[in-house]
Amino acid sequence: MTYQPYRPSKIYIEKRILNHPVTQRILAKLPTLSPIIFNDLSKFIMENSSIHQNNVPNNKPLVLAYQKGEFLKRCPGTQNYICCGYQILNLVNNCEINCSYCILQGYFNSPFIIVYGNIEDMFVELEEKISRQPDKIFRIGTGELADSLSTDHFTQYSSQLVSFFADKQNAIIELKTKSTLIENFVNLNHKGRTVVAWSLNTPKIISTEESSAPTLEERLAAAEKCQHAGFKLAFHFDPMIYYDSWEQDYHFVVQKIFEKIKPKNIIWISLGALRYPPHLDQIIRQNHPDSKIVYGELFPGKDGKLRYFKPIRIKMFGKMNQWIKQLAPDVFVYLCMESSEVWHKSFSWTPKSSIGLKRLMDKLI
Amino acid sequence: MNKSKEMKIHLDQIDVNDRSYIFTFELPLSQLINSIKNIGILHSPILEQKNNGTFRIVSGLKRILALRHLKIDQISSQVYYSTSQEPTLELFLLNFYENIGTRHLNEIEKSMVLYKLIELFHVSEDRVISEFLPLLELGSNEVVLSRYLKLVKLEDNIKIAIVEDFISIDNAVALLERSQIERRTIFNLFHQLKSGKNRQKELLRLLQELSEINAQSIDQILQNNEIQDVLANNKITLPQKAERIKEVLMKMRYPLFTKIEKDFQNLKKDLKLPPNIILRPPPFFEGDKYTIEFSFKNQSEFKKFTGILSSIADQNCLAKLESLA
Repeated sequence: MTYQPYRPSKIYIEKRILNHPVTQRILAKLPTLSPIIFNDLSKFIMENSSIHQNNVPNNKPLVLAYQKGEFLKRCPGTQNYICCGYQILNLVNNCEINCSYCILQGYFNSPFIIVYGNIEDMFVELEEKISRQPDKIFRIGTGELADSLSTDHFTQYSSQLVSFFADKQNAIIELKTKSTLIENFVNLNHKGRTVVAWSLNTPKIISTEESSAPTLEERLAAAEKCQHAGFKLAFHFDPMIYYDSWEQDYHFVVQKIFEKIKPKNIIWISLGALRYPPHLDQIIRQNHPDSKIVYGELFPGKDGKLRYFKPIRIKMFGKMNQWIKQLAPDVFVYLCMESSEVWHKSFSWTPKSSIGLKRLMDKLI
Repeated sequence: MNKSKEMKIHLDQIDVNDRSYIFTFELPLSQLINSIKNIGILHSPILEQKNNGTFRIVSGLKRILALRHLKIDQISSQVYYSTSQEPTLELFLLNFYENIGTRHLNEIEKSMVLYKLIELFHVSEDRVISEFLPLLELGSNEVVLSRYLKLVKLEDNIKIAIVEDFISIDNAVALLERSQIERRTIFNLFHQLKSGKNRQKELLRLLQELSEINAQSIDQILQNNEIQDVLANNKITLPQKAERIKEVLMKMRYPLFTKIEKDFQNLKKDLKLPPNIILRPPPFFEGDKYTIEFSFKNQSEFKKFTGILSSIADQNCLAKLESLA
């Protein structure tokens, strides 16, 4: 199935943001929708969530809102495992791609895609935080609570972000996506401060668990275009799913990457195995009855999340690292939310702590 | 509501198959028959006369069945006259309020009440949730309503098991996800093992998941030789059988984990630790730290156990723990 970018069925706008240029820009891109105005975001979500519960994911209603809190936050990571010290830029909340394993199903109890419109406040906050600590490296991403680019065809936020970060000496922005919507920024002067990252999986997992997302070929074709435009690239194999032909299939994906992408253009590759909080188990079974991912050998980890049994993770990470290093010995490969023991048993080395990993990754900037 | 009239009705005129107003489940008549023999009928049944002249039971089904058993052919009844052929909500509620005022409805009867209110008398779900669920002492929400409505679809033997508190409502609802044949197979297994509700839940979940993973029917899974051997083994108790079947299913569901757990048990055995010294792996082997725990009465016992621990420190099998998982 060809990738169909997100098309909201309705648009709701918080009154405070109604006359904002971003709102007008988005409305111009969605001319068939009549905006419905509301006063308060949390009250609106509470009162309207139930009527939209059965919306088709790719037509989730869009909400344009005013971000009252901070845009930039530390990635919460997970307790008792090594994390990379990432920072999250909270511009869009929720995702329409509807992957079976998606943590957002249990995280946002709302059927809306929320886009914050007061982007000028975000840039003021970023400027202040980044310039206040010139010796600190900021690795910032917009792809934790949303797909970084899947709403970009009408928000056009990517172009503003790429331009803003182009002049930053101690910060980079990582646009993490499964989409192919790169048109708004691919021709901009990024000065090497934007990393464009694709979340990848095997063709089998893409077709069964990420069925509304672009295919592997489409994602790699978009990555290749960004490579030509001189962007740094990253790939995230997260979540890796364990199934009968996983070895052959993930090896195939690694080979496919390096058929199109030169190792020197890849800043990092991350690996993470399927994991989710226990309450998501029932949500996955309910929302994705055909998915088999819940039938893995999953057990509670030290953070309480269900994870593959440790020897399975070690085997998957070890093999992936080996395949990547065979083709790209210098590419930095890291594990997302894993213990020092798993690092060591998979890679024969460990950053020992979250601080250790952050230091290593900061050096790549 | 139309006015009613007390009159003698011949039992042949009562249509006992029309149970539109009835939600009684379980009909133990023997005690009622004895009571009627000794003191007669204290409360008249309530009937509704239909257009065709026969009578529909509003309340008193058991009394009428008992009288038929006793070959009594007439009964004094309170009779309502219906203007329509269809049963009415008013008379259903008459029976409902009479029952909840005098006795506790079992879970199947509650499900019948809810089902009839919605399907037969077309009461809105919102009204059922806000008005009738609390009267039935149930949580006032959609999830509860949906669970109880499903119970109506169960076979009578499973309904009886719910009433007898042998099977939980959750397990019964989960059984409804399987085919009728598989429901029977699983239910027979529970009966054969006389397993408690928690054990039933564990077994049911394992069977369901294995069925999904291996695309096998529950029957096919239970044909496994090890399971059949356990079921045929007359030297072990029923709880032991249930435990062993669970172990076999766990081995099928979590093959790598059960293998490593078995390897750990074998290593522990090789260490020949006394029962007072307990060696534990990290939960689910997730961490890399093992725990040794021992209890002692006095200094000499303490010395003895620390001596044992010192003596195993250099053993190979202890080193093997590191690479176990």
